[in-house]
Amino acid sequence: MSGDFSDDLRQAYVVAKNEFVKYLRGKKIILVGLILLLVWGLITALPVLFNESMTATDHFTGYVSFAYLLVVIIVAMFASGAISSEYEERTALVIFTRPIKKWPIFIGKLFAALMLGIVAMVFYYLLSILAIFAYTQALPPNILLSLAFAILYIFAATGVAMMFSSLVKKSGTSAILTFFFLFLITNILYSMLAVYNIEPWYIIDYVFTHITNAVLYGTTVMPPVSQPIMEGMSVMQPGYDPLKATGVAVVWGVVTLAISYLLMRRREI
Amino acid sequence: MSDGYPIEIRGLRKAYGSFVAVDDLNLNIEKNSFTGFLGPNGAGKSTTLKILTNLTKATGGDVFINGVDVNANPKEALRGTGTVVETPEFYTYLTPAETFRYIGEIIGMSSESIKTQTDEILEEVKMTEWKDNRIGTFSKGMKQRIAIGQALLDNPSVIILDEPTSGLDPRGTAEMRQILKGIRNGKRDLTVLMSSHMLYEVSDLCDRVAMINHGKLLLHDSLEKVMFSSGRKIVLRTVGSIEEAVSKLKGLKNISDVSIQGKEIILNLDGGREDQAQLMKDVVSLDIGIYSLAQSGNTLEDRYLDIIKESR
Repeated sequence: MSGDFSDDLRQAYVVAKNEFVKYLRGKKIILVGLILLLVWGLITALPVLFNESMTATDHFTGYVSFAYLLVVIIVAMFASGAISSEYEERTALVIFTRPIKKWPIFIGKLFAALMLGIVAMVFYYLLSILAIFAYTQALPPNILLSLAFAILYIFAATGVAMMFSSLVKKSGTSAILTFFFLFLITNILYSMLAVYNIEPWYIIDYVFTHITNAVLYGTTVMPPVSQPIMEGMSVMQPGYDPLKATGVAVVWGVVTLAISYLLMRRREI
Repeated sequence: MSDGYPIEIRGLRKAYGSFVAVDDLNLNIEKNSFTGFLGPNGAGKSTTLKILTNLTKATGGDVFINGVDVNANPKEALRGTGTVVETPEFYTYLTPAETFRYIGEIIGMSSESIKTQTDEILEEVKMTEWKDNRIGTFSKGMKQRIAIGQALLDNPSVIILDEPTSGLDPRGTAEMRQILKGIRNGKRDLTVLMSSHMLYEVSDLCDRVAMINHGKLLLHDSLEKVMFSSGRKIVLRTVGSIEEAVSKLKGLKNISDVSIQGKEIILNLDGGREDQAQLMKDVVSLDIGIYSLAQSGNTLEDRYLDIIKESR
């Protein structure tokens, strides 16, 4: 039994290795690299061009406030095609007819997608810190905590992307659904609930707000605040709670991944 | 559980809503046979092969490969099984050698074994020259040769092929047939189940035939028996009088029917190869100007059409 399990894990590693080769030999990686460098370049260059006097913290919040967008782009480009591409490109006819269970295939693909997102994010954080240090000769606070929330958001967003990947036939459709769901749908829900004075802590966007807020608040919990925006109208400013945000990210990730796996298992060719 | 058949199908049923694709199918494939799996479009061939290869779950019944239940333990059942289902595609960013390594690693082969077998198999499927080229640039025929090649990795005891020449041009079809003949005649201890629409291909490659229609098994027997169960159709041509030849041929032993079709005489011979050899001697001794005597090439097609027609 344990031998069979270790063989499953070995197969998951083989699948993950092949996914990395796919990522590295594809054109998408170049596109994502260019987008990442463009975002970083603009955030780095504009304050210098306008000769703004900013602290390391100011600079860092500028960089990390775009981290979520990069995550959405990365998962929409890679994780969203992890499952659907096997069916769309008919490679499933080769891999699924081999002596391998579905879960090592799923875990291998998930691991590769997560690793790619994490490596890209660590690279973005390193570039940002280098630029901040070169500009201010100081390091911003709570770098690792912010990075941890970025990674948690990658986990939750990857779950969403893989859920769509298991659901639809084409990788392009899955990428569009992932992008609009994470960039638009949840954003609308998050904003609308806030307008109705509800703290939308259960929406996935609650996690990415912690990427920036972690820089400012560290481990201090900040309660939600109802802020008046005009006479008779106020908007809920969601709070900052690292533990709650971690829980939300884990639940989003685990639930969407479980749905994704069940859909993949049931899917026939 | 298993009666020693490498492939066993028992009471197999697959329904898509109210449409029944496979209906109580029972079929045992003999060890070391090369079985052609025939039937019209929608007969249930591909569905059966997909259930055998764990791409689709059965609604009812059981399928076993080497005695292992595919539904209960697909990983174990598919160990030692090579498959080519429909027209598979390969990872376009990999070369054939990298594809074989990927599949070999999934199977659990050692690096050394993967390397050795990759070289041997690529030679066998005539793809050595393109070993290190990315598959994305390959033609359909080349991809199909890679498909056959990957099915041979790790010396499987069972190979399941779903229309391996489908969509290939005549040259690709001929090359694929040569490769399959090479596999059949090789040293491997193999059982092959191959679905095909090409009846000539089946009669050329297979030693057994199973026919299905509406998801039910119509016939399963040796190719010889299927083709000649109602006699051998022999076609003769004469430089002499056809009418005279026909009247003399009717008097020969084991001849059940003699007719004229255009400039050819068609006769039905009851019996086997020995009887056909005797017929040739007898025809020569009749001195009726016969310059050509051949077995009809459409025998399997005729039988196939008869059986499918009866099943409607």
